[in-house]
Amino acid sequence: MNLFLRLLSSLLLWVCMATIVILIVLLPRDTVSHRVGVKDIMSYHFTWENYKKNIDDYFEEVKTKKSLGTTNFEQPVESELLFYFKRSIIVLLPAMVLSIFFGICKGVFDYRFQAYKLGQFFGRGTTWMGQAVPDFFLIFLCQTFLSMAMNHGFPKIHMYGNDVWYSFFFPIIFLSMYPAFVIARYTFQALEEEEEMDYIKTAKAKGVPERVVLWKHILGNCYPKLLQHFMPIILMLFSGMFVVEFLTLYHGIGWRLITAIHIRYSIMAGEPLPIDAPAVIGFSLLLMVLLLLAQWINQILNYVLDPKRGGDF
Amino acid sequence: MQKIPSLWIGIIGCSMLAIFFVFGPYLPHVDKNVTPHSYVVGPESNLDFILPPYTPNKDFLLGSDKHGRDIYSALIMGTRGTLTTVFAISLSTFLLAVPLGIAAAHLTFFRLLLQAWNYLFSRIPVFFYIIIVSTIPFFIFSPHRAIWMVSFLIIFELGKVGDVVYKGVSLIQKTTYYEAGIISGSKPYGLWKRYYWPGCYPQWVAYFVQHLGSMLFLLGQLGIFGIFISQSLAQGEHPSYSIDNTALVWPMFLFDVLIDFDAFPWIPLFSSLFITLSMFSFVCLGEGILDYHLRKQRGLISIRPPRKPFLPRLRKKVTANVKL
Repeated sequence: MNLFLRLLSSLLLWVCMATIVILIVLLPRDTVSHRVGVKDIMSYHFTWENYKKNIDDYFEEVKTKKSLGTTNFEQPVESELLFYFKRSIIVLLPAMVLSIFFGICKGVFDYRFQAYKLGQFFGRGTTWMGQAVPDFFLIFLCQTFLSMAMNHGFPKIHMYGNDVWYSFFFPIIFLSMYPAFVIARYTFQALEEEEEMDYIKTAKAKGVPERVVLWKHILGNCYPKLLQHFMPIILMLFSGMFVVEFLTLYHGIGWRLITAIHIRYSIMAGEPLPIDAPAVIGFSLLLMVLLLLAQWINQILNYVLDPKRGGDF
Repeated sequence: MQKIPSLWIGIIGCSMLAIFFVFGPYLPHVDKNVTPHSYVVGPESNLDFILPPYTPNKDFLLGSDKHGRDIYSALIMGTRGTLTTVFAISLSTFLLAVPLGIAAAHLTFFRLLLQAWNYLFSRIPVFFYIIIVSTIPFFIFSPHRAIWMVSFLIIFELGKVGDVVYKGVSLIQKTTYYEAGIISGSKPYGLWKRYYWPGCYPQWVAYFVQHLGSMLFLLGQLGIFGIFISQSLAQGEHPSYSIDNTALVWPMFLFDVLIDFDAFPWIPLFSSLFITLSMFSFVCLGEGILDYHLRKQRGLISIRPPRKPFLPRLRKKVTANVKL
């Protein structure tokens, strides 16, 4: 199967997914309630007419206004998308680059020093530790320590929000940590698998220095293997983005999507539970477009890096 | 076995969790019912009321939450609820995914099914799907919400796990010793017993343990946004009904974290610490199992020869177990 067909097939599947998500978002959200004694019995009220009306209305609006709709803030979705996209991308891209770079370096470090006891502790030990620390715990810990330090004379810095020029700094760090350790583990595994290959022995026998063998020969052959984990890492980054943006009050795509979904903590009997459907659709599609781009990059890289080009995937 | 620290850390951590799970209510200082305290009488006089939440002190080892529930007791008592949920999700995912993955390695139909499933559900964060689905009113009101949520998690995870199983099995199918097994006339049962199982099960067990950790991570993330597996509606002083988490689970203290964190940092901090420590033991155990089997395969861990019988037997000769 050639590259173009693969890209096309992932586009097709993407369209399927997007349709499913749009159909879920446009579900009617009316509820009914009746009173029994002192209790309201609430239930979900679904009718096909309402569903059809919701879908028709939405697509009518899209058709007439040539836009994805207007959000609850009376803004066209596109302008909000652009606004929040700019904010999130300056966190996402550096976080991705940082986690890949740091992760591979850490993996090589773990591999290089695994023979020593101290190296094993600081190498693989810290990698396990890093994989076990969920991003929210890291955020709580950092924020606690920083606020304690600030109480004791550490210069005041803004840890929350997006008002100061360095406010993207904390989200980048928080977001990149968890994927970095996962990449470090994958790198270590790949290096270990490659270690016993004949070409490594040949290279060593020919007197190539250890460092060059490690960085050039072994690592170079590990990249296709690491690339298999590209999509899971991207997914990790995206689901981390929701949590990190929410906990650092950094208003980006993730934060906006969560507010648009209106997670309810209390409800009145019989009231509908609306969500900001145009915004949810817009931001979900944006997320999915980013994921599709990542998928395409993955497929193209796979194609380019694959030594046996044209093998099945 | 002595030389694999991760295995030891994992075993110790998981047995601690098992102790909490089984003997939780009988541990010292644990309040079995996790009773909420609306006030505590202070040291000065009978009129000296102290309202919750309490900072960590002698009575409340890890402090209390806003309802005056002791966090230490709640975390230990919550071990059952949390681990049962996580186990239920992971176990049913694996029970479905292992046959699916194996079938996919043999039959084209199942391979296509697995690929399509994977494309549909594994290309978007599970977290995102769950948030979208869990806010549909039907699942808010449903009395079987917990079952719905768990089944959704299983559906979303199935493709990913099935793919790992499929890859593991097809890796074995490519080896020459597998071909030799077929040529020498092994029946499916024999192939399964002697070829797939020894190669695959360490990987599956390790992946299962790590899957437990990742499910715990996901539940924690959802807890931050106030989305829980089991919720119910309750009317308080207001005419509106509040949506409350009903199960005693670790992530419940992560809810409201933005408000809590400033004033009562111990509430989210200790519960997330608990989640972190158990994730750490799961990750370590998984790594340890893999490491152990890798060493065993390379012959670094000797398989002990069967012990000589105490009384010499008359007929049967003891022969060393030769493993393929």
